[in-house]
Amino acid sequence: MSEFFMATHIQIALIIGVILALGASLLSPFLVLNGEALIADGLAHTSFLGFTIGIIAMNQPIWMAILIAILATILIKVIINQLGVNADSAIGVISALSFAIGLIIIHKSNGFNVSIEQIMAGSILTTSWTDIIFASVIVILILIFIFTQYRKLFSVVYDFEYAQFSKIKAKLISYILAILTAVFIVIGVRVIGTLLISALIIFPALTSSILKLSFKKTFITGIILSIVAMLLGITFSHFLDVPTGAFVVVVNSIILVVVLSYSLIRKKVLR
Amino acid sequence: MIKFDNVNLTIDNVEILKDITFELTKGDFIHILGPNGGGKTTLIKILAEIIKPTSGEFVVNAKSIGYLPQHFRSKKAFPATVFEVIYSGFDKQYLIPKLEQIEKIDYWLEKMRVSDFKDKKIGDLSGGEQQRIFFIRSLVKDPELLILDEPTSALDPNFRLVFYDILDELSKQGLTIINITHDFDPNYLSCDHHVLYVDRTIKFDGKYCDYHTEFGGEHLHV
Repeated sequence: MSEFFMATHIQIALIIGVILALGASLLSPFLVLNGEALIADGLAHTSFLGFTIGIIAMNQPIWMAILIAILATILIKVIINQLGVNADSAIGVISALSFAIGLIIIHKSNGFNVSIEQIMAGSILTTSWTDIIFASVIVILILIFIFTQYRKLFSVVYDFEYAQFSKIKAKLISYILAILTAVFIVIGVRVIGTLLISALIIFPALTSSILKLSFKKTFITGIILSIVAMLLGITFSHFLDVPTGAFVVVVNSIILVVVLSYSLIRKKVLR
Repeated sequence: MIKFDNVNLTIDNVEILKDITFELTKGDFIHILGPNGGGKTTLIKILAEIIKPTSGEFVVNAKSIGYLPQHFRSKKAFPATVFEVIYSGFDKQYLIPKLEQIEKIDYWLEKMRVSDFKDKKIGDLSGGEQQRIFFIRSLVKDPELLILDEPTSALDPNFRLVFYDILDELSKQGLTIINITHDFDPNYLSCDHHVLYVDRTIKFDGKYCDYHTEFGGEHLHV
């Protein structure tokens, strides 16, 4: 066991895992409880277009992926706010279109020798220190934004119309949140892949909101559960010799089922 | 305090509001009546600068506005307590609420007869109970202007009387109140209350008694 924790690649995986679990769980309630649970999945597919153009056009594809993801998230917000389309439909349309354009570009580009799996899968066990720095910077920005704007974010997510009347710049706050989310997801896709980054955003708020706590407690519980699931997932995937990202999702699902069962039992006992 | 001068709003060639001109002074208690789709809610959205009018001018001299939305349906599964929802009404909010803010919330919960619900989930409350909570949320910031969009739609008749007494009390303390309502019953409105009847344009602007005398029952089926 001690050898496991001494291995550098495991240490890096645990560090990046905790950083990304923290970032995702900070964003989670403000996205999932606002009906935007699929935003991570949508933007992850959008980042595929960004990485594709980036690989063809420049040495550092991540910058292009970040730019495209930010443009896509702004477009999604405009479609929701201006056209009154619901969030899932707007996310679905932009995500499908981006992915389609990416596939066409790959098809038309001679000598494009990177597979879709390489772009979209990610691998937490091959993370570099550069990835850790990138992830740390964006998570610190998210942390600062959420702790300085926590109350306003609550109003925006809970009752957008009221927030507008309260003159708290509801639209600006929701756009900043969307942009931070986009950047976080692009970095997440590169490090841990589409599947895991999407799950990291959805599970914390989904699981903790089942407990019917206050918003503040739901928020804190989500962070704790997310980090615990990440640490257990990375550790046990190694000993069970299964893919790490996939096993972190399984651990999150097990925690969800346990919390759901506890909630149902408590409800029956209280009756 | 509020002055609208010939304000018009047209969306996609449809005239939503036409020639809206009226004035409110500090402490005024105005009831905006009118049919569904007559532009009442749109009018207050212009007032709060959420919608820009097509033409005309308006001035609103209120540092802070309290607002109770129309038919607000709480997101049932949203994990928020009554206290958290009310606290979101304060202009200045802290990660740890201040004692005077907690005392103010307790005062209003007592006054609106919902003290027992302070730590309950907002989604577990009935429509009428939620409406009282959202009313408290609109008040805790001590606004200069209070805008209520059909605030009594889910309240039972007995509590409506209590509610209008509270509004009268607040109005006498100098709060300017705009109340969009379908309550035109003399049990609820006083003779000297200011009434604005809006049906795309202003069809009446004056005292409630005059409105009653002038229109009898004509406009009352709104």
